[in-house]
Amino acid sequence: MTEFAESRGHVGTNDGAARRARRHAAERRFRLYGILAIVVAVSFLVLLLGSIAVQGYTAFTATQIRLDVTFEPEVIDPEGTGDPELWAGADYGALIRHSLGARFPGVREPEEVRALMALISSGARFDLRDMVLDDPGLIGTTRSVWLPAAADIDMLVKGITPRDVPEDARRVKDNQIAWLDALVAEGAVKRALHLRFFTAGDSRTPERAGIWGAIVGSFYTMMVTLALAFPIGVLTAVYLEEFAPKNRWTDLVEININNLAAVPSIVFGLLGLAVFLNVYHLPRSAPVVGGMTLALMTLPTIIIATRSALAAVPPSLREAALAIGASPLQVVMHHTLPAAMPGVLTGTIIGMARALGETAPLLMIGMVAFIADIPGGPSDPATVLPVQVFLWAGSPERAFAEKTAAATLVLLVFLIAMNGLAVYLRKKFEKRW
Amino acid sequence: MEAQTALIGHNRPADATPVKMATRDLDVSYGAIQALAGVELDIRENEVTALIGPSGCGKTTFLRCLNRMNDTIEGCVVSGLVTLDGHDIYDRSLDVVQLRARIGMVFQKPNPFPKSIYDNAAYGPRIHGLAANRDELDEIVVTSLEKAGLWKEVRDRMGEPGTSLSGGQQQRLCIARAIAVSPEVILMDEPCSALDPIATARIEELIDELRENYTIVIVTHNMQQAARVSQRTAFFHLGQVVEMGDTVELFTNPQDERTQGYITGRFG
Amino acid sequence: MVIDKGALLIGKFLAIVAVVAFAAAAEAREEIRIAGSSTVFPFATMVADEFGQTTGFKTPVVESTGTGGGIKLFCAGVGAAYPDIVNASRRIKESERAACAENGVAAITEIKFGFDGIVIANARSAPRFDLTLRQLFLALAKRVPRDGELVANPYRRWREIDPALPDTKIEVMGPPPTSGTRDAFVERAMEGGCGTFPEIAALKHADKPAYQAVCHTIREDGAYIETGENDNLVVQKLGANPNALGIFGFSFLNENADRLQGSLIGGVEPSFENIAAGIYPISRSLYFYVKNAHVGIIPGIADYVRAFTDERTWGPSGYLANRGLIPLPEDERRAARAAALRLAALQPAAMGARGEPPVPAPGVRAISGSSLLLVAAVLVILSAIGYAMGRRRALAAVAGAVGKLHSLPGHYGYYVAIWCGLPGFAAFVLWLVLEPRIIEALVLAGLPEAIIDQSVGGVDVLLDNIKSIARGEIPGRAVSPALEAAAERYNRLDRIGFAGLAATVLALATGGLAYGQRAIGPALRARNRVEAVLRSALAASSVLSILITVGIVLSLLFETIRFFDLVSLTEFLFGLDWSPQTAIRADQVGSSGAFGAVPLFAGTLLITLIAMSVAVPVGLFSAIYMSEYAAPGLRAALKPALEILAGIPTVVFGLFAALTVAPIFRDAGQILGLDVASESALAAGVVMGLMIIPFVSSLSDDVINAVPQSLRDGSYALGATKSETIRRIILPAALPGIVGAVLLAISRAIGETMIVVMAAGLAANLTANPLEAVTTVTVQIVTLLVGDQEFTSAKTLAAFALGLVLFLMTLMLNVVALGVVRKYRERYD
Repeated sequence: MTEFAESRGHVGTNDGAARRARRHAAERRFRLYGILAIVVAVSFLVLLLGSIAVQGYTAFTATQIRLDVTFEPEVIDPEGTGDPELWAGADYGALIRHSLGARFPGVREPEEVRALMALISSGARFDLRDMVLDDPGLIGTTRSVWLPAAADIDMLVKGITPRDVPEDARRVKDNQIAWLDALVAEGAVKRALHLRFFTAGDSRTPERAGIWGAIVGSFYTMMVTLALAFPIGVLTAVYLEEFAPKNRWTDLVEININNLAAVPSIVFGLLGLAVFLNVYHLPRSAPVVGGMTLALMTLPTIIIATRSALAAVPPSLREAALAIGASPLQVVMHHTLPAAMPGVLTGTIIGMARALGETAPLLMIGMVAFIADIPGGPSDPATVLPVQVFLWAGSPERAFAEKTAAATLVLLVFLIAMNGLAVYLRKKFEKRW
Repeated sequence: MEAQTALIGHNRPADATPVKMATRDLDVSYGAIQALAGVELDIRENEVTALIGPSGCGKTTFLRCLNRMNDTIEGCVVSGLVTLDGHDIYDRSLDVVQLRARIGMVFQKPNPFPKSIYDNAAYGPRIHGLAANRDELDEIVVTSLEKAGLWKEVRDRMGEPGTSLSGGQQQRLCIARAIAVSPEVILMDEPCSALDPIATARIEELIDELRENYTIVIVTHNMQQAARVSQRTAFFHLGQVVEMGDTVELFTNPQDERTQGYITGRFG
Repeated sequence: MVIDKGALLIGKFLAIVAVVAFAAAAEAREEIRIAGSSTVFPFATMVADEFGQTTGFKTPVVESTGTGGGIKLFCAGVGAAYPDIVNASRRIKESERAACAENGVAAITEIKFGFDGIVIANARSAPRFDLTLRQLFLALAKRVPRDGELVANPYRRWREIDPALPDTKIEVMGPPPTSGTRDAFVERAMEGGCGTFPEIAALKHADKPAYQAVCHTIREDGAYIETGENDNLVVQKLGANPNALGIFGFSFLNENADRLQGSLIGGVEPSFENIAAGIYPISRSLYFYVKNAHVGIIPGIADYVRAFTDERTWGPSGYLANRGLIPLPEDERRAARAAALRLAALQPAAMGARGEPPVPAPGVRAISGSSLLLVAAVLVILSAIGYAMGRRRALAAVAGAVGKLHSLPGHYGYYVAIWCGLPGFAAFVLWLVLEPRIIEALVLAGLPEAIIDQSVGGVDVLLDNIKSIARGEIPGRAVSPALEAAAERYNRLDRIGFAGLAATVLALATGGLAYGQRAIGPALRARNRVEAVLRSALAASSVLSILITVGIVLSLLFETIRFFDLVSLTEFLFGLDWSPQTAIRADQVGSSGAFGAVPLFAGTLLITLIAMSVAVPVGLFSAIYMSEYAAPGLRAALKPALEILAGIPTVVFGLFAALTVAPIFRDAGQILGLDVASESALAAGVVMGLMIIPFVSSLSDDVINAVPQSLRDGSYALGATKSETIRRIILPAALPGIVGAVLLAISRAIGETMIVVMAAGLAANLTANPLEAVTTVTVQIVTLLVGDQEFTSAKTLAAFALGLVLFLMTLMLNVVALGVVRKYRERYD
């Protein structure tokens, strides 16, 4: 440090070099705490996201097995009616059985045939059905078709379940592994992009389960939540902070709102059940109701954040606007609220993020459910992404573990998109005065 | 540029005190915008130096260079030499904290902390450890409030928030706050611009009293004020010092026609 | 201006949302609705999935609500709003049947569809256990016989029970007392072991309650670790802790044979064959119940039941067996199948081909939601026209010289729009609220008194039935001609009411339009009028929060009162023992239950404290760093990144806490010589703290950022360092906002369940030691609500009481907090 002549006021006082060194050390320490805090938070985030990604990325591919399938007319249309209505009900499993039978002619015992069939997804027959219904010309031909493998096989091929344990500890038995290896040897097994995961609704067959239904459900739910919680929350906060007289009534409202923030989310579910379902007879399991229930839960967060953001706007800004003849409402709408927007958006994004990840209140209104069909609108039965994660996490099938992580990843993409929008808006509004 | 150097040389009053602060070839830019170019100025001890000039001419920027407050502004680049008692204050090893303790600052808008009057005045001494105990601290607070001419008005309400005072009182509180650290130089950025004539007169008196113990640099838009309180005046124009000299002389006999134009109110 | 317009648009949007919601209410239902047990859920969904794929019906919606909650829903009434089928991991109780009948759900068909084996398993890396029921009882009972008397269970290690057993700590993870699995385990395993002691067996006849209290009560000292209903988590925890045993359903062992091995019970392996043959002693029956009244109304119910009871589904080589369901013996399957087919015969003769909803009688037609929507749309369009007209007229009045108008032209537009829209909207809302009541009253008044008197379950059920008939969900002739007539009357009144509504709304709207239009002139203070309306809208929105509170209190209050009929208030508030081990099924009596809530509140406090001691420093320092130190670009990236933490589903945090953090703490504890429970408050609290960081960091960052720069300048100019400025100037100035953020974070911590269930367990220990397992109020609320026990039992009702008491406690805390903040703020503002 440059030798800097001690000034008169400071000579003889204890603001010596030692004290300054201490102060600078304190400064460095303080800054270090800041960095540490950020490092802790970010590394936890990275660890968490990393572990999800590592566990989940395998769900984006799926094992497929190539079979030469003959679309036998006698199976699809045994009576020769030519009526597509009847084709839909045919036993397409038989086509797979015959094809596998042709490939492995030695397999005859019913037990063995069942084991052989278990290589292919139990849902593959529906794929064949859809192929035929799309293109009736297939009937009578033989095609080489990539069919989805059963989840157990998929897990084995991906190396998630081990081969090197005793046979009784495996779901895939020795004979099945032998057949699989034979298929691998001739190049009839591949891992391909698993598009179905993004386009299908829920299923209890892991290899057929998809996330699209939950995405649509989450979308509708969040839209309703946002449409209700944001305006009502902001308006309430504006009223309380800018217009309401400061008296016992507003104290009551303020305490009440703070208290609502501490109400466990499942209690909001009970409220939603009592009001929306039991009194107004709205449909169960519908995103409309889910959204309204989550909006009740999100409101306090938005109100509290908006109020503190409004309170932080300097009075001079209001006075300036009032002085040029703006009405109090115009002052709020044109000046105070835009200036408070970053804080409002933070509150909204945190509240919405929580609503997006919430399952407990939805339990009460019937959204924690197995719903395979894609919801067509906000009043159709639907589930949401966190519920899908929750349900898959509780499923016995091993293959759902990777789906659970993958669904979480999808949820995070959703969340990041939502955050991105908020960041953009926040940047637009933010300034320091 | 040469003319300026000459001015500094020629207009030195006979009873010149030593140079407390000096700048040489000072350039400041905010990103692409050049705010100051080649400013060379001497500030003398126990004098009031007034900086005048039209808005946006770089007076405040210059002032903020003197205690390195420009450090807190994103994208501000300072080059050239600024010295305090002959030491470069932009030396990388210099301790800004100590520098600012020696060079106090009063802002255009009164900015008392949202604390009590006492805590406002005691803030500086506390962080710099100027008082060994409560009694000493009380004494510093009282003295600086007295020096700032505020003591009589606030002695009975030291616990009240600083923000509850009137504008003029707030500004005197900010001066007291600056004085409490016993700085050598006090920088004042249009300290009276938000005040009424009576409060302004109080502050001007105060500046005159403070001159005895402190070196003061004041930015002002008010020509009369500059004439009243300062011994020396510098006229800034477009980021440069056009003219610098004895206040009386500068106002009665400006050398540069831009200075003349400004002080006679023809532009600015 | 833009925002004014926005506010109005938002108002319109809200109206539309409300209308859509109401409109949706009346729609009939096409898919089967199933609710109930989480144990049956995997099997029922598998059937539902297959059913949806292979038939023309929509895939049934299957909810996982717990048996008790499912039966409550199922029994609530007949009609599209109530489930058609309930899954149960236990038999329905007589009291539940009575409640069902009370609500008009008299005829239900019970179908027992298989067994669920309950296995005790551990990691393959550890030695396999071979236990007798007696040893299990000694290991897990709360009190065990020793030297002729009952003492608190002294056994800590397996070897102390039998030298042949391994010398490891007794650690058994199992379901909580709200679970049907637990109930079955207690009955089969515990009671089985208990009966081997002659002195206890003697009690069975002498003093049955005492007998069951001994046999059915599981220890609560940490050796038995209550976990949530997530069996996958137990599976994974066992992998991480080779010393522990876990109790769960056979299907999870079936899926995880590469990691786990089932313990032999009395030398019998828990294999598919052994359980099916009844040699393995611990298993239970699974059921589902069908609401006969819905068969033939909701399309596909009989077909679903037929599909479920098909050999390819539930037979020994059916697809359910492949996933771990133990099939019924063949004769039972045949009998159940016959019952299922009889159900199909219930279909009313009027039913057409499959999948078609019954055609309502001619002239009977309910008002559909879309016509309501139409009225609302007309209202919106009229208001929009009003806006345009008002604006135009105002401009015309001053010949385009805007300066001569009192307000901006747009204000005149809004003025007319409000006159046009508001009265109509008010009438609309009033109609939505009142119309059903009026019509109900009229319909009831028109009914013969005899019918009202005879109706089971009272007027509500009767009305429900009439409405169901009116909507075509129950064919009227299946009920009675009087009801059918009532339904027709209902629909007629509904139509008249609707016509009245449409006429009123249109009249009000056009009248308002004309009035508003006439009133317009240059002197009209349009802006003031419009703003007055908007201001009252603002005030109204703040009332909503009060309404929510009232709603919450009301939705908790009734059940709470019922709970306090069963359990005394003092025991609940001051009792130190939380042990809801009361019976789940009808034939069990007496096993003990204690409802002292103190340990729950203490646990909540402990976990919240831990969480806050992580979240506040990390969050606050992050906020300070972001707003005061970090470059703007870094801040812009960091802030949203941290906010991601707030949105990750808590299941994920829970798994992370239980499977990653808790083992680390346990291992660290072992190294330090501390005894850390495998479920600890610490692990849950720390992870929860990390989760709520963004609540503190983002909100604090905003308020810190809002502190005026002039204060910073003032401080720096005095020679303060950055940290001094932050600590002494910025933080105090930002304090109210920071306190708000911390309060919000605390609120979030109190409300969190999943992390606690997974990482801290469900055992209610009264302890301040963060290394032990604790549980929280909210966790208990959720667990009790989704349990398998009867919904009206003290166990479920306790959830409501807990909710209400928690509500009141946080209310008091908030009152105190507000007082403190205000005092502090007054000093500084």
